[in-house]
Amino acid sequence: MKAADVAAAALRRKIILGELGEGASFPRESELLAELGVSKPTLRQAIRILESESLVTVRRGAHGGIHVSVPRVETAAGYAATVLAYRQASTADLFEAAAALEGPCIAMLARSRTADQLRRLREAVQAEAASIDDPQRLVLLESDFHRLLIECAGNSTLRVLCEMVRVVIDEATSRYMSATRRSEHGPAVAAGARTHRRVVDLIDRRDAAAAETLWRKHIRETAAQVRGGSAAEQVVDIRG
Amino acid sequence: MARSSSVVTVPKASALIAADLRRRIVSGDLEPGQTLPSETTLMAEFGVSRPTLREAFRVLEAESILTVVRGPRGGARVLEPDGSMAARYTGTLLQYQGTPLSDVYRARTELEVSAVGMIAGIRAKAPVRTLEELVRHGDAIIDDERAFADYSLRFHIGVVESGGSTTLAVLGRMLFDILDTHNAQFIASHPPGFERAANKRAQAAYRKLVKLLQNGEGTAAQRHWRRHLEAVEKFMVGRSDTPLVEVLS
Repeated sequence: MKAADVAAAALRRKIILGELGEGASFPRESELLAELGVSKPTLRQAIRILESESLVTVRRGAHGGIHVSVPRVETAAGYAATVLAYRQASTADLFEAAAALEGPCIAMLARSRTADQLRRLREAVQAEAASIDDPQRLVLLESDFHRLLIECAGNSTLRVLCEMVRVVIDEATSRYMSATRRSEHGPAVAAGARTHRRVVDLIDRRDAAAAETLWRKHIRETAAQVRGGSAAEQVVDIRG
Repeated sequence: MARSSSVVTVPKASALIAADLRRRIVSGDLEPGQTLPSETTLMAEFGVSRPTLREAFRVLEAESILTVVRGPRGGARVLEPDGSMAARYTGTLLQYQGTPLSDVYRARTELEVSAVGMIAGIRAKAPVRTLEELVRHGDAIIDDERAFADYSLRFHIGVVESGGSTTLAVLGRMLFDILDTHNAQFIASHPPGFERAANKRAQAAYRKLVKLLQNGEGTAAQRHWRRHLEAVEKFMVGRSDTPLVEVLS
């Protein structure tokens, strides 16, 4: 490894371990030079590496400075979306991946759920029921419910992958919502909320197989609905 | 000094230009290897100043879809959005979240078992034939640990890609990048020959997976693959819950 890579790795580690938090100013150049024992050009190259990894923002000029941007799932999702758009992944493909990743999470959750998790899931389902006549609001609650399920499943890697897919699916869903009339999307969104209640019942009973099957079916049905209602079949870059 | 505490410093114009160029790259209007028109031309086209244009370039450079080469034959050149940046960033994110290595192995197991289910659901024979082709390469290199690791990686990628979802394949590659790094360290930190028995078991497991899929036994194939991947996790991670940061950083 080159000296700049080694220095970048040391600085990256500080960010990963939380020694430098979100928005924190980087230590003074002279301090870093002493700590890392590298030359000025090497340090600048190392900072440039971190900048290219979106871990710091460098503002040039009089009020400039180097600030930490801690890794965020939204940023990761943005990178993934660029690749998916380039590979021309379709909306159908996206939903298929959602089923492949979320399905196992539901099964894991059904096997390991705690009373506290069950209470949170019930509350979320009740909030959905209370908004059954407001599709615009309900669709947001439903997306939150997906996230809550995945969070409760307890695998952080799958959670990050699910979130990458979910961010792009949310985009597709919002296009679908604005491209269709309420009379068309209203019943579909309400049906989604009822399925959420049923899946919580299955998780309550610890019926992992049935919960996973229902969840995969739910995602397939949502996919058919969103694809039917919108001409936008291709994944669109979310930062467009 | 409230301004300097804000992290969002990109002027709006440069963000818009970055978005415009990004769209041209992902849609294929601008192809990998292609050099963008000169800065002067782009400044005229977008009606912006040089610093604004360069700020846009920096955004795209950070995303690894553009590289600015300095010098007389330089210019802004388009890079293929190949997912390596997404993979690297995701690796950093997982480390930052304090994810243990075993968590990544478990996620991989679930992702691949899902992919096996997808392969079994496809009527066409081509995906299984691809895996069958791959498996043939394994026997000859069973004693070469690094070569077998590369071959193993190709087989796992093959499983995920054969499922037919581009999205799942892109996400799977992110995990494989991490696991491959760990595997290289594992090989380096054990005596030669340590992985031999495990490699033999892996090769037998690949063969069995192909056979079950050929016979249309989807459920058995999924069960078999889960067992194999759980055994791999046990061998590679053991009981320790090493945080990912110790592997990658």
